[in-house]
Amino acid sequence: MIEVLSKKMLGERYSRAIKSVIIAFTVYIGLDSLEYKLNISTNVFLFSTFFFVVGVMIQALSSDDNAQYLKGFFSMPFEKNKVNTEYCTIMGMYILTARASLLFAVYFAFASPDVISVLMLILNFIFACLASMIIFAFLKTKFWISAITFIAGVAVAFLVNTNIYGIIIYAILTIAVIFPVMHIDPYRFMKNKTSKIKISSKTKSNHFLIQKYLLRYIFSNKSFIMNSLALIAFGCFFVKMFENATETNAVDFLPIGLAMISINTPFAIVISSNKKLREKLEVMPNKMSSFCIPYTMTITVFYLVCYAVYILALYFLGVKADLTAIISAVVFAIESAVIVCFLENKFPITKWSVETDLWHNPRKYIIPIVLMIQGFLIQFI
Amino acid sequence: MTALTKIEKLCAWYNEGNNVLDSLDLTLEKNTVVGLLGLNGAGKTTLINVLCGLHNDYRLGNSDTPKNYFRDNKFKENRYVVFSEDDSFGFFTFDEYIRYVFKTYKKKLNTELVEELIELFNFSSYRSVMIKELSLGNRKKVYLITGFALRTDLLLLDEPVNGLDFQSTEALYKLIKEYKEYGTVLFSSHILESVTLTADKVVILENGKITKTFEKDQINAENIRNSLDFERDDNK
Repeated sequence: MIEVLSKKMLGERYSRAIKSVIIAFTVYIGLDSLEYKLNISTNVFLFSTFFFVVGVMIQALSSDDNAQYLKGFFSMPFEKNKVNTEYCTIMGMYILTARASLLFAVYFAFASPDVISVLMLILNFIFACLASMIIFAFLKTKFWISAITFIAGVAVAFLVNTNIYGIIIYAILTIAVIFPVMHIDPYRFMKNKTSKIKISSKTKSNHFLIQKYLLRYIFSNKSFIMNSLALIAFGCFFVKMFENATETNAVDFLPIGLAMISINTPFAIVISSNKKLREKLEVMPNKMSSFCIPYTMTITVFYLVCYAVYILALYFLGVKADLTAIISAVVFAIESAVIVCFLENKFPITKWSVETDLWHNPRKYIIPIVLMIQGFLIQFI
Repeated sequence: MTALTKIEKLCAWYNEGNNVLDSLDLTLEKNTVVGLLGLNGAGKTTLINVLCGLHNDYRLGNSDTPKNYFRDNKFKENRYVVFSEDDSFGFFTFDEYIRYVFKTYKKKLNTELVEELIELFNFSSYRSVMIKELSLGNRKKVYLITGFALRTDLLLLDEPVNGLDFQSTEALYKLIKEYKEYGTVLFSSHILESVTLTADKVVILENGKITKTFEKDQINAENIRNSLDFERDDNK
């Protein structure tokens, strides 16, 4: 299993993993050279890491191409313990190299953590990977197990002290979850097809069909919503972190936080992720009126909802949005939607073999970069 | 008969210098059923993709058909295609999909006809199920019913029989045969019976060229089988 899966997730001879690590290291060197240091609470970072890792790991575990791979693999004889260990190791390595490496690069460059914090962070990462396996395996059948595991991870991240006892607590926690992970029935990692979903009665309306389609698409996968929530949480963390570190008014960073939330991949790959949909849209007439306009409108509304949740969350954290931030939110939502629709139409991502390639295509950073520059210009110039 | 589309000296390729379709001439008359036969790799799907505007690398010999003709909105409004494999619009139900397609083609939905087609394909219990949840055969029915209900001037079917049950295959043959009342059907198939029972014209594709055409009385299984046997012998 390990050879085939690692080739898929980490690339031929770990090429994709090496590339990601080199990029993260370059980012670290670049940011570190700025010699700009921030006072970031270890607990906040432990929580962010746990939340982020669980989110992306569940998204990776539930991908359709992974399900296809497991289906083929489970048709052959296998050893339960070995499969779980290898599966967790590969997925963990994938999350570390492809997804978390950039987060760590930014943290290490700005925070300069001590040895104890680094050790706690490593153990927290391993624990988050193992916990994700448990959360995913029991999400549909024994939800309480998933819920307890998640709550335990969040609680420890917030309550643990940054000292030797913190390391011991994380070590005990990690060892405690290894055993259950090894003994989970591997078939639980297969994404089960649900029974045929019947949608209300006969549709009589011709209105809002694409909007309905897109909403069904976004709500079809819990990880899509998790992804949005994680981005909002990250945006809040970012604003608070810069408020603490720079003693600047937090609201000044709000537009930049909005820009970060716009890295919303699921809606930005609707066409790229389905080759046949792309072809059908090309073949059918009146694409602009029948698809592009409703697609743009739906994304605009979706971003507005995300931004509203973000602004509301910040309000509860004591950051009140000013008029500039609210106008920025509206403008950014429209702008993001138009760019997403343009990119999906004119430059869809076609050269991808596994879903993870699609999710990590650098194209998704175009919108946040454009908006971040704007956000920066709005607040500081 | 009047020509609906005339293709002259069509060359199409995936790698430059290696033509999959090589100087192919094909005239699609109005209100006819044309069956496209050929061995695997003969270029049937590539030809359909060119007609759909999905294949980029091609060249036409005749000057009266502009390069972007197949991508022109007017042409699109008069053409519908059923792909051999399709998982597009998976989050729609059949009812939503057909409404969306009719809206896109700016046509009024003929509910009576749709009900008839649903009955014919024995599809009524699946119409409110999301397309992505349907089996291969039922998914095919979604796109076929839509195509036959839409009644565009040109209906392209790429291996329409694949995945269909016996009863639906019979229904499909009937519908293809009757379609010439409303437009032209061009369909590719591996099943000899499907063309002998429905087509007015059968074209045999071999190495990217039309090597034989059968019309009316010439269309029978033996003639076509002999022709395909020759083709196989030539390939040896």
